[in-house]
Amino acid sequence: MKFASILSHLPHKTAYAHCDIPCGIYDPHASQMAAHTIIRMTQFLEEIKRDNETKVEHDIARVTHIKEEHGQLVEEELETLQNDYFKEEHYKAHKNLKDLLAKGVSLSVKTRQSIDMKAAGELLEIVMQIAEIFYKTKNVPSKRVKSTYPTELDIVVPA
Amino acid sequence: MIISLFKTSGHSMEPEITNGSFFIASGVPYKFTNPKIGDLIIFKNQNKTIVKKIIKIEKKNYVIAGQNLSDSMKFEPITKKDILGKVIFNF
Repeated sequence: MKFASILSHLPHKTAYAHCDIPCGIYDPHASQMAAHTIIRMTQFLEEIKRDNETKVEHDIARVTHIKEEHGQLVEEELETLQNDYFKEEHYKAHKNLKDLLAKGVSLSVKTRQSIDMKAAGELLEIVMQIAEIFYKTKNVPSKRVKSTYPTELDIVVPA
Repeated sequence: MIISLFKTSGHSMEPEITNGSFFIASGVPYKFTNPKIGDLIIFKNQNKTIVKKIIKIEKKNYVIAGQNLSDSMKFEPITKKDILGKVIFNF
């Protein structure tokens, strides 16, 4: 178990070290794109042909690196929404929001640790639900549409 | 505040304190000494505990900023009474 994991079980407070300008620019789009990328990278990893050992190692390293980066991006984007955008009234109006954010971060870690299409699909579903809540807090109607990405899965956009 | 464990949220103090890392802060050091340039400190701003670095001292006012240059110049200088504690150990 990592030392940080041990510390996280101890009572602690949060100290913020965010960008200090209250820019007001928040968007759940980046987390959805990143979740799609994780799915795509997971597809690549499942489909890699093992006919050339050197090339296979090279391809796995590159694809895994991208999957790792986008898992981190999902975590950061969700934490920005959690820490900087969502307010107490949003949590009161959407009782599942806190759980969705926690589950999203947890799944972003799980998809980095493994080649798990089920977890990647669940992550996309979670970030889409968070996106739907985000647009509700903005009083902007939203809808799920089929993305134009190779994943051919949905994405939440303003209606 | 005698001593507390904190988890960092955000990137403005990287590379010294990274997002998600932990640090220990204490108010005790400033009972005996004054904050100095380079100290990593925590203070309250709009009900949030913020971690920053002292980069300048002007007439007992402390100018603070993040480690990343893009994050500097965002807070007004603070006084010693605004400072909750000093980062004494980060993991």
